[in-house]
Amino acid sequence: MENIFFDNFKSLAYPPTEDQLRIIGYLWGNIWILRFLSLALLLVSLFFWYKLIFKITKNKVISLTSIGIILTTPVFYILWLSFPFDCLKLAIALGLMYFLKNKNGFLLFGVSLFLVVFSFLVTSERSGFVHKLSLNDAKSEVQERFAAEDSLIDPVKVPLKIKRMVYNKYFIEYKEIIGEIIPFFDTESLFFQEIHPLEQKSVVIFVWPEVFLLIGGIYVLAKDKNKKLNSLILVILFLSLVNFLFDPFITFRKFELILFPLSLVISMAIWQIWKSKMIFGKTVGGLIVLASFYGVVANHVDLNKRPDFWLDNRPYFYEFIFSSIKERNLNDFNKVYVTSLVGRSENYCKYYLDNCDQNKFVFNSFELKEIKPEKKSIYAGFAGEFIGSNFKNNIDSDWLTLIKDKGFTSLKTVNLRDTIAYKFGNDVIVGEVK
Amino acid sequence: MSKKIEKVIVGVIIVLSFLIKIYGLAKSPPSVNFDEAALGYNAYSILKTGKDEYGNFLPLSLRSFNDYKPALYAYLSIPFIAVMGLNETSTRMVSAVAGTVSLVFLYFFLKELVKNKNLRLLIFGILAFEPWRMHFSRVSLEANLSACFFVMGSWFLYKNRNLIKQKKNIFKAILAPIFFSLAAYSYHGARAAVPALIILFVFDPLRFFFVRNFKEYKKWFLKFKAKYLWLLVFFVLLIMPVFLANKSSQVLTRFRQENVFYRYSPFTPKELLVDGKSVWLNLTNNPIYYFLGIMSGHMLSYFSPINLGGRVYAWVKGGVQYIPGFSMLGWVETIIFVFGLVSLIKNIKVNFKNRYIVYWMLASAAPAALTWNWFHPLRSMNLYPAMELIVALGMVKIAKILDIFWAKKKIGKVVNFGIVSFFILSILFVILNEYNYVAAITHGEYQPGGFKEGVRILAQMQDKYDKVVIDSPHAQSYIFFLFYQSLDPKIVQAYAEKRPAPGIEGNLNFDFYKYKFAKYDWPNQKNESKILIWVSSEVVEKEIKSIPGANLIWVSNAVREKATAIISKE
Repeated sequence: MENIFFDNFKSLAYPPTEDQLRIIGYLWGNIWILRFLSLALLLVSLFFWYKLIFKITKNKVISLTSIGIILTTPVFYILWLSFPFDCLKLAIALGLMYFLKNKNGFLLFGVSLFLVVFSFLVTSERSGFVHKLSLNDAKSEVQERFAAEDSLIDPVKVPLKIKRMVYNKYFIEYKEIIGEIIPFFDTESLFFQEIHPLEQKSVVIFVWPEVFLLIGGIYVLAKDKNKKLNSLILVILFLSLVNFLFDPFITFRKFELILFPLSLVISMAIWQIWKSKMIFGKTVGGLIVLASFYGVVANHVDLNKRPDFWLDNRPYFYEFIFSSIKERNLNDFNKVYVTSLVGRSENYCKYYLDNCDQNKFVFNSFELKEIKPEKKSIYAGFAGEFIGSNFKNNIDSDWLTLIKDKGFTSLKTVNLRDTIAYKFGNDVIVGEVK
Repeated sequence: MSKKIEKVIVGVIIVLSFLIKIYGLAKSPPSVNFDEAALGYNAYSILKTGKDEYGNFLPLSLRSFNDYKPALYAYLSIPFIAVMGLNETSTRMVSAVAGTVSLVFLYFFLKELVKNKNLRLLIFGILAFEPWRMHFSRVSLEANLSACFFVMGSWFLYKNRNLIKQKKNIFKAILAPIFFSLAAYSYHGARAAVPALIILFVFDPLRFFFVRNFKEYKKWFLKFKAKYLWLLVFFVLLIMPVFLANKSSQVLTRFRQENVFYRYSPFTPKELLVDGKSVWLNLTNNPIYYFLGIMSGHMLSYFSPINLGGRVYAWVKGGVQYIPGFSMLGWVETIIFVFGLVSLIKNIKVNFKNRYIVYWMLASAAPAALTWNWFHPLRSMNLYPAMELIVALGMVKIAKILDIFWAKKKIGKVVNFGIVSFFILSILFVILNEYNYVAAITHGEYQPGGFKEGVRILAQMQDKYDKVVIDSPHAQSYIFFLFYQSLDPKIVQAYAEKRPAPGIEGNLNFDFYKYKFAKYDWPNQKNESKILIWVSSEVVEKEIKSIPGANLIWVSNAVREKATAIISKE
């Protein structure tokens, strides 16, 4: 029964992320308790959002539509499934917004401060924007520009003084900073993730027909001249920008706060279509709403058919290697080598195995191309670690035979869809040497 | 400010923009690229013989690399080549002039959108130096010339929008189809964009959203708009010769190679299709949904701020359309563009000019959106003047916000000074970036090194030798040997029959005069006498110098790297 369920809803079987591992120990190691808590937090954020917009719009349909849009977006689903800290952040941020709703200044400052502090507390990683603040990148670019131009045999002559006016770390810093802000206006990642030209790793935020509803919503808002509503949307858009700049994670997580204001704009368009008396506008608008609904269904089907396409493959990697190790009797082995190429494997070890004896487990990348593997050992890693890496990630197609030739037996392998350890191939192997 | 002063300032900006565009044109980009060389040499060939490199008399499309380039750019280059000779500057002048002339019409549009003269001049000053304007006006590009004529046509179409209401002769709008047809004679994209714009202009479909019923719309359409359809008929008549002069299959060659339908079929990701069913009957992930998504995405990618202001796709990088450091618009302008979009949408019902900008954008992006690339700046050049108008709308909106400061005189002066200084620095950056940084970064495949410097050396030597062997990795490198020594076109035309037939792509090099395209094979070639060899691959200097009578000249590319070796054997 369980298998049938997970066959149709493959995404539910998605293994824990590193974020979840940090908390799961306090919850008896049960991922579903954590997921329900995350969902509860997101529902709290939706509750505050509903209260906030209903107070301003006095319109239940608009408020509920906005909630409905957020609830059905694949991002919402993935957030409670895998990212508890993001759920906590949204619940607090929306709560703050609700309680500070009458004081725009406090709202802007208070929530911005919260978002910045939260991004610093929750991880040691820093966003590109934070890195840029140090001026180091600007200095490097100035040097790189001068070096590039000096390499020309016959450059166009420009007085050095003029060059210095703009080729200096302060002006380039402005360029670098604004270069971090412009991606906030990335309509491809927001609306066209399903057919993204770069097939970059992310999750669908809005489905593509909703981009037309957004345009319609902007028209409705501009015409309505509801100052309170417009300023609320602008303030939350600004806060979304703050979150985008300071959040160091993947694109869809950086965009998580923008779900709220954009869903509101879209719901304004849907409301307008609903009450419109213009036959053509109503028909076209209605078709777009239907297409959006279809898109939401199509994307949830997609997400559940091939979660490994949409989601980070590292949790799959860890689940595979540790479940393969678990199947063996560890008493028969002196050492267990587990690669650390994609992160801190020991954290996952504690989750999947009861005992990660420090004398037995070695969490480090290994290189067996030139040396023989140790006897009475288990090795878990990428094909490139067994037979040698390749600059272009093209590992010898005969890797399995080559690994067997090294004396490995009881091999378990899996091919990951994503390249998570470039140069080492996409094949993961757990093998033992007796 | 009087009208006279305004005109003087506009004139100064336009002249300055032109001078900046042509300054150092021979050095940056460092050498001509393949298409520039083809346009330049064909212009030279027509100037000298009345025929293109294949011997076609006054052609409307240049066969060139079997890609049938629209020929107008080459014709307009003839006067410059006649006066200045065949070189980088003369070949690029048409583009520089086109980029400047289009500014005049941009200003006409700005006059319609921005009522405050000071603000208008500031906006014009900023837009005159947008990265795309600077970049594409310094390279020979048919698309840039086409964009200029397209703006002119768009202006005359817009200006004459109310002829029927004003009870004027509708044929007063004749300049619109004339300039539009020139755009179509300059670049393929305009052949689809112009009809699309005229149709959108005539039918005004966005208006349809705001009328209660079809009857009301029909009445308005028949009264004021239907007659404008003659513009479309006239345009089609004007461009008919292009299709008559060439087989239509040849003119459509590019589209067949690049269209979106072929590349993305069956549109739905294959893993989501249910086996055993017709593709189109998939219920949950139907191809129609994905196809419409791809088309919408292709179209809207041209209005996506990130694409306009920073993101560079792989297919853009390494090509002539790549502007290192930028995308199409300036950085701040990209953000202002978002404000402009909101302003545009807000007044879409009441202002025809807003709807006209939307139609302009849709019509310009449509031909590009039908190709497989997500965002391809070169194919959508007609679009960017419209984008600039949206930036202008955004600037007007921001200026309204800044009114708070301007109301207080002292603070207003400081704010003004800050804004003007900031934009001057930004413009300076765009110019410097274009002059040398872009040249240094893009000197590679599209500004192939060695030819500019080496062919001139080769030309001086070749009279004393019987054979010139060329080993080049480039599929169309023959054109540089024609361009950089202004080879007598009659010599080239004599080989027309022996050249790769139309439809053939890939290696189009052909043997002509003393030139033979072959692999570098020193062990055999060292035994030949009176031979010159051009090698782009690695050469062992010792091996050459060890043979009596053999000599070697290294030719560097634009960034001091060894690009080519010329080996001579007496």
